[in-house]
Amino acid sequence: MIETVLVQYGEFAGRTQVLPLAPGGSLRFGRGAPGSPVEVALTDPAVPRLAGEIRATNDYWILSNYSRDKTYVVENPEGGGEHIKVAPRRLAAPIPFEISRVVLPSSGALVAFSVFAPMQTYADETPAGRGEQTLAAFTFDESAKYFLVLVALCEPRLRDESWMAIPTVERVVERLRPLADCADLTPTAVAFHIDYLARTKLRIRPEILHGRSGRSGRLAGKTAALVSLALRFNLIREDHLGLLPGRQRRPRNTQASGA
Amino acid sequence: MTHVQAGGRGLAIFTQNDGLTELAWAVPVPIGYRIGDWEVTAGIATGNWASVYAARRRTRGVPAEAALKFAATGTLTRRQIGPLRDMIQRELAVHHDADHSSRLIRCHEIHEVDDAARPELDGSVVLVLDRAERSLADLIADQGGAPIPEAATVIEQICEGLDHLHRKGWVHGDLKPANVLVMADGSVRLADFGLAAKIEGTHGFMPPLVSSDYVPPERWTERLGARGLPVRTSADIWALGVIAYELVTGRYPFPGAGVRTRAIAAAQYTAGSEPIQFPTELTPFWRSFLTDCLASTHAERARHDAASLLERVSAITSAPSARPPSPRLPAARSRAGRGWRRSAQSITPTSLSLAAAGVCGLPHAYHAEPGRPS
Repeated sequence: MIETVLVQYGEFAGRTQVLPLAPGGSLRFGRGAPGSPVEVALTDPAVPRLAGEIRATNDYWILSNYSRDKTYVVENPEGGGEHIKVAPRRLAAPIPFEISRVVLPSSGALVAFSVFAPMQTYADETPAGRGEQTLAAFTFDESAKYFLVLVALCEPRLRDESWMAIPTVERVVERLRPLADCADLTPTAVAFHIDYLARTKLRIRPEILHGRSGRSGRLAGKTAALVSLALRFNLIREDHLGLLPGRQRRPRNTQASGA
Repeated sequence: MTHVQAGGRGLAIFTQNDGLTELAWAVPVPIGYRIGDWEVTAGIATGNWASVYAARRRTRGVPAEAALKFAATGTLTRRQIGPLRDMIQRELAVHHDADHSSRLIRCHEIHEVDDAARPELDGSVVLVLDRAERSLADLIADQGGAPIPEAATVIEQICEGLDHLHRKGWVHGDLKPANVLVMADGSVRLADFGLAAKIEGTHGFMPPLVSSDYVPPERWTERLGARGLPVRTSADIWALGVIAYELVTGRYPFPGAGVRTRAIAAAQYTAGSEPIQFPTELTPFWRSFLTDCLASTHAERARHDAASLLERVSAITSAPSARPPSPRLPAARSRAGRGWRRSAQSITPTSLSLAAAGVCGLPHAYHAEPGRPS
């Protein structure tokens, strides 16, 4: 079954769970109560018993706010402060972001969960006439942070520095930080993007993801699989390197630095 | 294997204007350009990595006309060439294994352009292919939403091509109306084997490059492995079902304005939430045929292979009442003079490794009308 929307919750409770939705599928969220069952339970007392509903509608989703007086905010964690406010009693507000965080007013700690719409479509960059429409089998938002992370991971191989190891998460953070959008990028966020790319965007077979999780651990194995497949199938190419910040010359040769 | 003469000096580069945007040709070839025995007469179509031109033979010989497919190489970097090399190898392997069927477009010769004066052409691999009149996509478009009168015969011939390909151990992988070409005698042939997959056991692998309105719903949940996405013959049967639906009803089976919307409509049908809609006048034969081709899972679809579907549709076309006004099934023709097999053997792995062709990015037909935009 084609799953166009994934709802991920429980990050803050330390038990992350993911519920996939097919087009037309829906789930309810809220505090829950006998007679008001919810699929996504949010325990904060300020959250209504039945707070709202998410419905996968094509490759995007719609949000209904069932509360009488609380505004929900849907943030795009990829964009610089991009967000949508969904007013009380608003039904079926369309949400355009690929990655969203739904934030609910709470009595204390942040109450939020994430919603992904990984099947959003982009046209081929080269118009190939008026034949049948064709989609890339995997489509990426080239302005998204997850895409920059993938380009940064592939960079050493693309530049034919094949002797170099695949960059570590810390190295990717360092590489992307000069970009205004990535000033606050953290290793945790990079690890999250790697997971999203491997599982959801590229749908890599689990045995490849977990096959070589030897001494360097699961993340390294996942990253290696991701880089290998992205390059093998030309999903990341030389022209994408232009998205990365310019590389500083390493002051290895002090004479050349012209001091 | 390389025979290029710098003919046509000073001739204009052919450009195509579809009325909206002027398309850049993946491989711009001047009209009058000569390769081996061939002279380019008109542009036919272009994809992202290959362009197809009409050509005529400069000496006596068969065929007198051909479609030349130029695969871009000159401007590509080494890394871009990798997947394209994979596609040309798939295409050549299918021609080598299986194109001695009158239901598959044949490859007559292969050339490699050696022309340092034209860096945009230099190094291009050129396939000399059967020249077709137009594609099934054009035929469907010209029909303007009405059923195709000769639908049963066309479907029978597509089944013949698929049955042959599957028996030879290949999945086409990119079957769609633009890749079914209509010959001058009205018969059809399957073309464009750049995404074809050799079956190993139950399935083959294809690169995860493109998908269209004709990929089966399981494509969206297949997981990516080191060799690409798994593909089975049942994927071609799904595509056959979609094409057959379009031919007999005049419209696409799943509603929606965009290709993603239609893919989702197809997914909802396969999930059982939306039944497939047939026009009320559609005969029970076609309802049953289309339902079997468009069975929602691979397992259900696998019960109906190309051979059994061919048998079913042949029973319809051979019934006297169903025969179209003029017989459109030509006898298989002589295969004499096919220089390609020799050429293929002369291609060493080393020279192939220099070759690169974009095949899957070529959603066009080989038109006969010179200069007609696709």
